Amino acid sequence: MSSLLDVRDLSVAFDTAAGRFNAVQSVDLTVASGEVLCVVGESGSGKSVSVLAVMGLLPPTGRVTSQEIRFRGEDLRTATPRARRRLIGRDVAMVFQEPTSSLNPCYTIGWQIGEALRVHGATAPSQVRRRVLDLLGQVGVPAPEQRMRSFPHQLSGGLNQRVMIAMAIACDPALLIADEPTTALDVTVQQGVLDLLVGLQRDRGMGLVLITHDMGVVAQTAQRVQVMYAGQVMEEQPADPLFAHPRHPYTAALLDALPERAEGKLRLPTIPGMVPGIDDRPGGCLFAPRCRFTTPKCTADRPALRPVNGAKVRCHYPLDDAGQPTGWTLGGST
Amino acid sequence: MSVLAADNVTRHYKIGGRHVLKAVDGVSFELLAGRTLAVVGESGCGKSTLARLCALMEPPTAGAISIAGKPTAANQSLQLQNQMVFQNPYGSLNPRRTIGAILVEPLTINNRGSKPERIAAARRMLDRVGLRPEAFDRYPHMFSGGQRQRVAIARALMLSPAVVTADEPVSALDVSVQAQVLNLMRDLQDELGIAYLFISHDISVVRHMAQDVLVMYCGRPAEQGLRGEVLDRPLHPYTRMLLSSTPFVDPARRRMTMPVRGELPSPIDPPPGCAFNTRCPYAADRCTVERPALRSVESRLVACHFAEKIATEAPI
Repeated sequence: MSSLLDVRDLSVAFDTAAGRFNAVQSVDLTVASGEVLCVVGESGSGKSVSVLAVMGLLPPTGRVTSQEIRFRGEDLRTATPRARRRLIGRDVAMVFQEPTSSLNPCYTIGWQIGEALRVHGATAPSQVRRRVLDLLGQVGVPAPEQRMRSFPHQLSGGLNQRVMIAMAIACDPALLIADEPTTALDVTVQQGVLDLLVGLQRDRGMGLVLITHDMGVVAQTAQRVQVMYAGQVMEEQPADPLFAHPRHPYTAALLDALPERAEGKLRLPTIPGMVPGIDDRPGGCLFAPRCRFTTPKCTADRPALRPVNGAKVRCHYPLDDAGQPTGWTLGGST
Repeated sequence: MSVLAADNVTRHYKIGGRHVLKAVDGVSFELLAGRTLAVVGESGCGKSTLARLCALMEPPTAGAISIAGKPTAANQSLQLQNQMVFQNPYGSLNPRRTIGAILVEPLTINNRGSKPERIAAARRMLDRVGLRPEAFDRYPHMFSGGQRQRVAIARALMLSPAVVTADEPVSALDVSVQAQVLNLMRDLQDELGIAYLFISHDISVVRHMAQDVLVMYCGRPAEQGLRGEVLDRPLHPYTRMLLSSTPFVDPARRRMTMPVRGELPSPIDPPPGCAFNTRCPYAADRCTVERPALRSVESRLVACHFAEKIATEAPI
């Protein structure tokens, strides 16, 4: 597996009326070809902003800093806008959350899928047409001949999302980034779209980055998982061990709060408090105010992301296989 | 004691003069005090319309709803007994009013108590739903989604209703906050004995919250009964499809699920016979001509010609 995308120490800040807000702080992101990486986090965790920064799709108010953003070894930070545009949409493609508002209501879906082909390699109209039909077939849109003349409002959300995926894979990208691709869809349709994404990824050997807040989606698709909280990566692990032995107390608490993991219990285990906002980010560990194992060290010292048992964890007291914090004593560290 | 009962409730909308959209078509249920009835189904199945009908926000075109044993047709004031909590707490709270004003308003409108009594009741309610006393003078934008949903729940409870109809109350919330709100709703139910009509598309939330389940498809009931029957041993192919497409939170149980065929048909022009026949793995000729009646099979109600056959098969 060769590395496709290498992002090191990415930070994104926005200047707001209330001061500078660090939406993303020092995030590393690597994806290899043929790999499915899930980035999971609650709202405001910075999961979308970090990939938008990589794609260069943030508004100018977003200040992006990084040590490295490389795609197939090419440095995207120094690339000219022209070179960047050539890459994005062709070699790196993206699927967004809300298909019906991401598509242009004024053009047929056939025209919109064809646009990607025309922009990135101007082929003859007959060729574009054949390729659009082929793509619609690949993403499982029934009766492509008729559908390519439809407008987005004539299709359901699930079909529109398939159209978005067809558009994204039109130029055979090496890396596909899907930002909450199934959040707006019913569960019955969600499964089909996830199967399609993972199937395409497998058949084409693409790298796939799936951004989601849904642990069920992660469990069904991911090979590797990055858990984000308040703009930082808290934990990174392959999927199987993550669900069996979460190392960060946040991941563990998040999994415990799921109703399906609490079967038979009357009350769900909760995480007290809420995700820190723009003006109440703590100085130490960002999760310290809500963590059950917080010590004075946690509130004073922000932990670094470090390797533990095959995982990377940003915690002073990573959890062991029994879910107990290592090196932790009540009231302080050893 | 039945606090909310629907008898063959139907709501049709005329569309463009010619078409009729059957949003809700012949739904009956009984909700008992202190219990939770969950209505589940895909978007467009009519579950939110059913909630609006039960809250008397619009009248049914046929059928009857009774609240606390009394028919609602001639008695709009029974509406006070069924209060609503909406999905999006960013849209359901007036941004220009303080939390205190929002909570006091239902009492003022209905002439309950003196002004100091109303304010005292609102403050007690704030405490009851786990908000700090300072919240009383603050505005909705100063709160997170989970806290706003607490305010919305508090507002619904101000008139001490027998039923609270909650339309997707946690689907706009993050998981960690969702658990807090679900726990709060359960605590309030234990304490006050209220019944919930709980509209949701999330099977795992329904499994956690409800004792009774009603599965809707294209405006009609597909299967209804006790949670343990309907969700643990589903007999309608649609219930089975819903359950099998809900992802397990466990990579070891990753599987190729029963592939879901097709999509929800247009509610303006549903297929003849059983509305589910276009997506059903069991569909036979009979299903395209004869609409299955809702009937009792193995201690639940199910609308499928093949329920007995499915009952003999292995559970999903």
